[in-house]
Amino acid sequence: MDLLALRLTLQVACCTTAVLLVIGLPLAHWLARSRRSWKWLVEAVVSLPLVLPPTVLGFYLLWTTSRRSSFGQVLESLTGETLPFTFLGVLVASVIYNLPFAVRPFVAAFSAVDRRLLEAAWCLGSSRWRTFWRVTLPLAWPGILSGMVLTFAHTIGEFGIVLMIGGNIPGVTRTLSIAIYEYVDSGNYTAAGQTSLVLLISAFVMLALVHALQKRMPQT
Amino acid sequence: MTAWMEAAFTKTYPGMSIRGDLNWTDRPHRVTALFGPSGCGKTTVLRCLAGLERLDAGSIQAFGQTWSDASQRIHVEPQRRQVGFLFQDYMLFPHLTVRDNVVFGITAQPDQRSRVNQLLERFHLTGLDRRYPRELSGGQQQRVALARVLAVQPRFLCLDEPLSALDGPTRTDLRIALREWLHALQLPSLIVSHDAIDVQALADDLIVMSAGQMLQTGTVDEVLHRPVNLTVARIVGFENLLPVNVVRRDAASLSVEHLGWRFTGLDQLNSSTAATGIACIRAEDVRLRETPADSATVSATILELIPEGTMLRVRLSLSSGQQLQALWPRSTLVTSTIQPTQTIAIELPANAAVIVQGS
Repeated sequence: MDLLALRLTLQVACCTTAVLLVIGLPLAHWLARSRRSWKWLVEAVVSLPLVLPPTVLGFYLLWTTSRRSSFGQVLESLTGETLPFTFLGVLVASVIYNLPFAVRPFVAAFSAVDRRLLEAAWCLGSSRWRTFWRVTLPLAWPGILSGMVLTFAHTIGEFGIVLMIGGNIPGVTRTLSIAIYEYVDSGNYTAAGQTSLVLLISAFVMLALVHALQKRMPQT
Repeated sequence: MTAWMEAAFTKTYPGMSIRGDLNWTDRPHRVTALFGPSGCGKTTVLRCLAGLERLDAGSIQAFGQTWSDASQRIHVEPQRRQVGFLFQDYMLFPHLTVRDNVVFGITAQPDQRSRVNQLLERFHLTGLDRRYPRELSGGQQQRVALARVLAVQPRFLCLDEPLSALDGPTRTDLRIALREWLHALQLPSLIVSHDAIDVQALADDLIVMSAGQMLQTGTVDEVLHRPVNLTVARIVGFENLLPVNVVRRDAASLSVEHLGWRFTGLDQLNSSTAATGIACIRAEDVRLRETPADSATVSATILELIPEGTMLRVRLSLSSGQQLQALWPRSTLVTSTIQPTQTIAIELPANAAVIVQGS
């Protein structure tokens, strides 16, 4: 079992979940409450990673952020490094690829909160910001948590996009899924089996957690 | 006297335009009911007043402020209107206890604790303050919702179908309690309802709405007994609509006839020349007699006897083919002697009918 790969995988999963919580919550709140006619376009972009092969997404990301592209050059001048084959590159790819896994449950959780509860709060003098913290968030919390768990679990199992953008650099971009691929490729089935079992068990635990959380969704 | 509420506005939805027209000056603590069939736009009027909907045209001025003005793009948010809004299903926060629900709108006030305790006591909620809404009965939920609304000291109360979530004896009890609270509060209030019994018990004034339009405004008695047209008569519950010819005009009433049957009614024709109209008659005003018909009565055949609690609804057919309904307390009607297919004489008390123009 490659402990370095395990640590890196957990780091990517934690960071991806945290980043998606920060950008996913406002996006999901807007998607759940907005009545704009072009909302479907944003929904489609968010859902794109669900239907797009990871390798395609990885290819485009590689292409736009490499040293050869002007965007990649701007990025390099700002950060001092290019995204491909770095931890940051893997993280960016992971965030984009996991967008629907976080945002969709968040949207479902926000949509399940009866709008009239928010209106009741407004009529009681509560600002929109206070209403979000005191009413929306506590009621949507089980759904938000389930989105976070899904994102975390899905990041652990990522393969195609990580390989495309990150390659296989131990301690930098070599996650557990890539380690399994390499074990099998080199005929080390024992290590591949052990690592796979760890991922299998963690996936089951995560799903059980999601199921438990979904049962606690608000019923108003 | 200046109006404390002056509203003339339009809110448009696909397929329906809702027009609000309110001008309240005197006695601002009166309770007004917005009455009409489901889907006629009553709740939208309430939501516009509370600031939960933006107007498409017109304006709302209240308590010396402009709350909404479509032409100037003014819209005061609900948080700044001090309108106490009681939602149809109460909309208590399910994750907060009774006390936390009541406290929700009170922020940073030194006497908060004592005021909440007073409200809990007033609405008989003292022992329930640690419970969650799901652990309360419908009546208790309504009391929490009212206490929560009053905690923020509103200037104006909006109640959206406050009794519709209840049924049977609970509804009757709550109607009586709500009537007491509304009278004790001395707050101007607007109640949305589609139930005539609720309206009569709770309101002083009545606005009848249909298809997004306010058709008649007046005191409850005035509107219920003197509908201005056929649509209002239908909405306020006149079951019998009989085509009549005008025979004679007096100062206070009209003499009319339907195939030789003469009776008098209140003149709401709005025309001194109209020769015909529709007589709107409540079923409880139709009197049955087992004596032969004379000029003041007309003979009718009994079609059906339908028990309605303590009342009996009698469906009748006149020789013209026109059907009528009579509603009588079962105790005063010897039901054993009247039977379907039997011919009976019917009469109306003077001016029991209201004569309006045909549609």
